[in-house]
Amino acid sequence: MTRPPRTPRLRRRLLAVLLAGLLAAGCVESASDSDAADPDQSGGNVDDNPGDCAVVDLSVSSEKIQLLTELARDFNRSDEAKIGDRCVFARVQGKASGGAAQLLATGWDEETEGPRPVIWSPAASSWGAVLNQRLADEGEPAMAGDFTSFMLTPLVIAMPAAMADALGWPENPLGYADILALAQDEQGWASYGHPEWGQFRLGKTNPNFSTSGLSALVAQAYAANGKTAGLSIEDLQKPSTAQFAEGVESAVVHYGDITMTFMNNWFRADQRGNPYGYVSAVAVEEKTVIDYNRGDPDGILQEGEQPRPPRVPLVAIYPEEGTLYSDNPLYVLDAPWVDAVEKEGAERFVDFVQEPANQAKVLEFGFRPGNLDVAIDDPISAANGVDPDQPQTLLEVPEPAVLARLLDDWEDQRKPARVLLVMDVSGSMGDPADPSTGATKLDLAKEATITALDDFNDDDEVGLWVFTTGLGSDQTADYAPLIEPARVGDVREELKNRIRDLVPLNGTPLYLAAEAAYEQQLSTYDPSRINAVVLLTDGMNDDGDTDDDDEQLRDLLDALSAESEGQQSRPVRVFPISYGQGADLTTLRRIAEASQAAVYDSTDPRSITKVFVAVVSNF
Amino acid sequence: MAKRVLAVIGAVALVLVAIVVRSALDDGDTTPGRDDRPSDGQLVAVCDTDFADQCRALDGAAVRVEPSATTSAAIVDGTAEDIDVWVTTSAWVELTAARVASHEGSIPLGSVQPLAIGDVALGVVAGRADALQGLCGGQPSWRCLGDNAGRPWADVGGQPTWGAVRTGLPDADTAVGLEVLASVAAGYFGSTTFAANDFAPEAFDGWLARLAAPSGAGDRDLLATLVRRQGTYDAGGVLAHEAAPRVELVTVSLQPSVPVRVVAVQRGGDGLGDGGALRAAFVDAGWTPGGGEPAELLGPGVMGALHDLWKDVTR
Repeated sequence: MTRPPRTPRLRRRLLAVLLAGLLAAGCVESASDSDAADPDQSGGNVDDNPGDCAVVDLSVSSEKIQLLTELARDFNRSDEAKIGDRCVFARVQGKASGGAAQLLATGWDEETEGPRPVIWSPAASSWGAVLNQRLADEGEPAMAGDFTSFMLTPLVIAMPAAMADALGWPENPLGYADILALAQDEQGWASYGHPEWGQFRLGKTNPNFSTSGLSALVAQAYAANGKTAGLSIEDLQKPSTAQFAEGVESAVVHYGDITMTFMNNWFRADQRGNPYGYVSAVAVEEKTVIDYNRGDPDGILQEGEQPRPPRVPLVAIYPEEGTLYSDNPLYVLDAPWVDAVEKEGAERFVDFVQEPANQAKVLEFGFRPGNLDVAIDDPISAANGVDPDQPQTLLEVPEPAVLARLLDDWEDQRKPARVLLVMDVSGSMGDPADPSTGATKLDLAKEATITALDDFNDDDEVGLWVFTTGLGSDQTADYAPLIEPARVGDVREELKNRIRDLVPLNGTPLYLAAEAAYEQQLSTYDPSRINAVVLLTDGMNDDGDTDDDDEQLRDLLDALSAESEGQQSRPVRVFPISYGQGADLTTLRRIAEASQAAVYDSTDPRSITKVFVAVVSNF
Repeated sequence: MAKRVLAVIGAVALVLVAIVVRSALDDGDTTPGRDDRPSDGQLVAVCDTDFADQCRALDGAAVRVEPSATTSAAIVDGTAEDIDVWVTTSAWVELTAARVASHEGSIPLGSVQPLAIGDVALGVVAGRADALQGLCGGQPSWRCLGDNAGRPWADVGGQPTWGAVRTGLPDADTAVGLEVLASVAAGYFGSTTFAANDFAPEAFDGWLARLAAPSGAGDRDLLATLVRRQGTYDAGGVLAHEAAPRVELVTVSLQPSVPVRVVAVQRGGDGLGDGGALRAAFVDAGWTPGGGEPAELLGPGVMGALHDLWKDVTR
């Protein structure tokens, strides 16, 4: 499918975001919590109080927050944290790579974003180049200089072992050309003797948000051109490159901000006995495959959790055309807020994490140690589905201008979406949400939704429903279709106007509205698009009759599950947004899981704009 | 060859001895910038990035770490007055001395103390050593790697999944990087007797550009890339004593041999003493002590021209 050009406004917006370097507000790569639309997390240091010590704040990408939190705790207790009669205290904060790059380039507001970092560790050093490029564009000096890459993990294609086996792997190396062939095969897995697995389905994160998604996009473009280095604008302009990309993207189930959404959904499908129906393959980091196979699909065992190995393990396929590493740099920032003591403390921390004992911990977490004195060993082994002797071919990171063009082109090549926005207009949405402005929850939700509409492509289809009790001329309806899904380029302004007009009304018939919206999307299912419902609600189900709540929920979950996987499935993903303190996050999570989507938590209504950005990243 | 040796000796003779005594060592390292010389008489040492670890032995000194190209340019430009000690290689000293001699306003270098010596070698990824031997007639060499640079392995006896033949080079702005570049050039010409006017367009230039392409402006940690980032290169220019213990690599000696002579240029006084601590740090890191007389390296002018060429082809 070739899309018409986006509006100039969108293009400008994209360029503003991308040319400066893959910028995306609220970016996430491999967050440890699939439910966390907001990737920013405190490290949760055991010793949270730095006392009189000089604080070395770290901003780290989410997939390594637990590892670095543990290392920081060890460092704070070590002799290395003492400089003369002073002490140093390392404090870890999770921050998505792209989001941190943007904050560092444009101004880091400590009120809303937490302390400014002394050490920055994005997932890949390309983000450092992005930051410096952005600063240079503004006439500012570079902030990310020489760095230490303290651990590595390559991008791989994760696939259930049985599926890889059906494709002849490992004797037959696989790559993006094979993904393309599978995506375009109308017989799907039947061509490989497994009609029960249905069509080939691919999981890929949004490259504007996710380092894994970006690396996969780069690898895909190289594969289309049969190159391993020197990807050029001219390469991207070839029709064959676009066709290759569109072919691969056509198999995508949905995008999203974090790979963990895929891994958690996949794991749940596995535990139900069928890991083959949700997705066939997902582009993730090698470390993620190890976590999954160890029974910890999101890479963090919460308190009381035990790892439960999957019934069907995954294997890491290192694309034969080549791949890229996430090199996890530690930048001691050349920033005006970093004083000499903090800098020295930071350098000591960088040295500390490279010590062999600490690099052994890196290995324990499934990363490849940066210190050459620590051998690559278990868990990077065949027993966990990965191969320490791979990858065989590395791809060159393209020039920033090529990366920007690649991302720009992706907006035209990605699988289009068909989304129904379902907004709660119950009375509680009129509650105050921001004392500083007097805005209500509905005010903030309206503003965020209107802003999010600009993130859809013109050719995406978006509709709008509202739900509350007492709707309609006879005041008995529980939901009201305002605009049926239509081409965004044609209805964007109308959608915005209808959203502006919304007012808070009555009860919260959540289950009935959700099921109706889902059935509506299912009845108009378009296999060439990502079909989804975005369900924003601030309350628990309340339709005036509590007797049938359980039955309604059961019906809803059964309906969602029935079509979400399998040979003839017509997956419609429901992405609930749990909005405000009163929302029923637990039930919303069940709704999301039943449709193999993800729930987004906006308990603080002021975060809703950022949350919406993350939700729309799925499309 | 005698002329070449004379040229080298001549270049070294350009090195002037300056005597400024500095002492006053206090606790804790600092890393002053070029304009923030310590006011308390602390010894200021500038170390090449390749020698940052060894320079930790300079207890009490204010140590600055930067590529030798940066230090060299500052000396030639006359903006390096704060430097007491420069830890680099004899190649950089020779290159700098030649430029100092022809540049008005430059800062005299100082006395040169040999610290340690090593050898440039090829580090070949173990899994590809046999294939590379087959490709290169039994002995991998710069010439063979450059001649085959960019060719698909599938066409030259390797696995299709290996991609193209790729070699890694370090950043020639650094101490070891310049020596590796000298080794590459010596490998191409088969000797060290070539001159700058032998760098004919579309011959050595193009060959070097193809060889250097995979590592762009130079790999900042080539050994780590070879060992930890499998698939990036098939081989790379490394220090023999660093590559030899690595099971992931096969170390191949090169002809003509290019030794890496680490030296300390003492510009300000005798704060370095006899360099014993520094020398010991190099020995601990696997270098051979001393350095003795300069070997038959490329002439200073050739080294400078080679470095300029490298900058051109990797730009």
